[in-house]
Amino acid sequence: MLPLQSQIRRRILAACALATVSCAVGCTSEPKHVQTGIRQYLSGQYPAAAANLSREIEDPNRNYVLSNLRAGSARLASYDIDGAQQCFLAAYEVTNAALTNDPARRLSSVVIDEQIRVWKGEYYERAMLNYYLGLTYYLKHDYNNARAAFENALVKVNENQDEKEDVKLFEQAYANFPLPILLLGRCYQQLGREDQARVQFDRLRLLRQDLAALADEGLQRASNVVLIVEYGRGPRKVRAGDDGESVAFGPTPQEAGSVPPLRVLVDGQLVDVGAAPSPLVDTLGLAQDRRWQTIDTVRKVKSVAGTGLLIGGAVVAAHGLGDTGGQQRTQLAVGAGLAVAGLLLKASSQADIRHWELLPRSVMVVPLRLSPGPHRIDVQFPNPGPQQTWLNIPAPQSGDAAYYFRMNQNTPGPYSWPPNASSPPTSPTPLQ
Amino acid sequence: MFGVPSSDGLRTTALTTLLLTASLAGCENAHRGASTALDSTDLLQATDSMAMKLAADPAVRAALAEHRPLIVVCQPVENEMTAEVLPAGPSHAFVARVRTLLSTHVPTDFIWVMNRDSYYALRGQELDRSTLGPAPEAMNPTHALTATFQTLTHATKERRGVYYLCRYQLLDLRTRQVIWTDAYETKKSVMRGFLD
Repeated sequence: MLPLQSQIRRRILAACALATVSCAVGCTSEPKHVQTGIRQYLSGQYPAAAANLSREIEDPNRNYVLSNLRAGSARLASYDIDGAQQCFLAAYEVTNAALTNDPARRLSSVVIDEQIRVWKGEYYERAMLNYYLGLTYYLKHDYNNARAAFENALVKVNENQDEKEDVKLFEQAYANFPLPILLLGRCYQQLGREDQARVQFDRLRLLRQDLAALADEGLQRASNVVLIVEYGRGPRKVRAGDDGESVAFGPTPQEAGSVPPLRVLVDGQLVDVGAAPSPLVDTLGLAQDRRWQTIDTVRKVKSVAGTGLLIGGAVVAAHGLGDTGGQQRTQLAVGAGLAVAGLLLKASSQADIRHWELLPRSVMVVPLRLSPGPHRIDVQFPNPGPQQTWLNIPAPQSGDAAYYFRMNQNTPGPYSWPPNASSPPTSPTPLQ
Repeated sequence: MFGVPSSDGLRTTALTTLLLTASLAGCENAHRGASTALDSTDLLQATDSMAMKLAADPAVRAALAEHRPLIVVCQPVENEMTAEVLPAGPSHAFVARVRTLLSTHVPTDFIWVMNRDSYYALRGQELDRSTLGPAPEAMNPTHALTATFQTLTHATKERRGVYYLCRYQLLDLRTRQVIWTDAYETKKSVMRGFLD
């Protein structure tokens, strides 16, 4: 029989372990309105999604960045540009900072559950955040801040590797993410810094031969309307390995198939978008470039150690079965203890699979030279792909105007420009 | 009962504290960490320094001796920084505080004119019971206070370092001469930690 003090100690420890597990579970579950918001976004109900997802953005919890990214995506698709910018800016400030996880949080992330850590996203998600922040500035004609954000997108896409270690790998990351480079060039053109614009377009041509036509500075300068078209659904992060201790992204670009070609009609006439045939980013591909991180090692070690403890526990218990009396009880108790510890270790080795579910698969940029005034613009992907129609899209006399198209099967339109701005979150107005 | 705790007891207490601390850490508010962005300390230091230097500058004093007060329009900071966004709030604050300090300490030296964008932004709000005065075009400011922020940003997987050059200028709009310029410089660096 154990002494009373020892029994009490064990009960306290058991209670703490239980509290820890329940706390971890309680802290890591998604609120229902967030799940609803994500579903609404994916089905094209952007204003409703924005309303649901915006409920979380003020809460400075471990999901602060993710909540702001989700709300930002939904607000942008609802044409609440200021609201989207506010969300992306909030996320930008945290992802740009260091030491966002204090020592206690780091410890809990390692010991209990990785999901306790403040989420800052994978490097491709951070890069996309900066692209979106830049896009909101670009849509508002603030080209200086847009330029800065696009530059930061290029910093972020390579933040986990050292240029000195592997220049090829570094350049490859840019080649897989030429979107900010093109938009940087356009920003410089709008700022009147043609030399800098040329540097960006030259860089784009060097990185991607297939984008040479799009990287033509004359074409970019001549265009007064630019369509930013987002297609498909980005990567999903899933657990892999026996204990879910590894992360994987799916589907791969090969599994998902190639992005279908884009068709643009202006006032009913098919426009030659030969200069913009290729997507400027494929997030499914970018996600596959994820590099090994320290936390991956921690999880792997926990999983292996957990397996070791389980086996050890089984061996000790089996050995105990051969004994009798008090020795058997002790051996069985030790075996059970080791097995429980092993199970706990394995349970806590599960990977954090929070991710930005609302990212598109690809982004296409279509520069157009249109006569000043309102136009009807149809953006189409071949059947059964999505299509969207906007009426009264104004082309400016000078400068440029950018229009954002988030393609979804359920949002064909036709919509009328400007989007309804009277009751935020604003939404495109379907014409009946 | 209140004797020296046993080593077993100490272990239990330590483990209990560790587990509770770790479990509660996940539920508390997350803090924003260390950043390389300009902050309120920079705002105070930069604007205090610039206001003081501008007011005491011999060229500005000479211009004042010739014509007092100077009619000055303030422009928000122009962001020429590399990979650093400057939101609208700080962009206005870094110039507005210089204006505020000067209008408090040398109220007779300068007349401050709202810039074009701010004027039309306010007019766009259609404020009731307030008149915004004449349009900026009718005010003919003689001088402009401008600021341009530039950076050298260096980011690696271990750290992010940013050197800031915050340049302020007082321009004579009639002659296009820069009659005063000075800069606030600062360097910020953060080391990335585990889980960053």
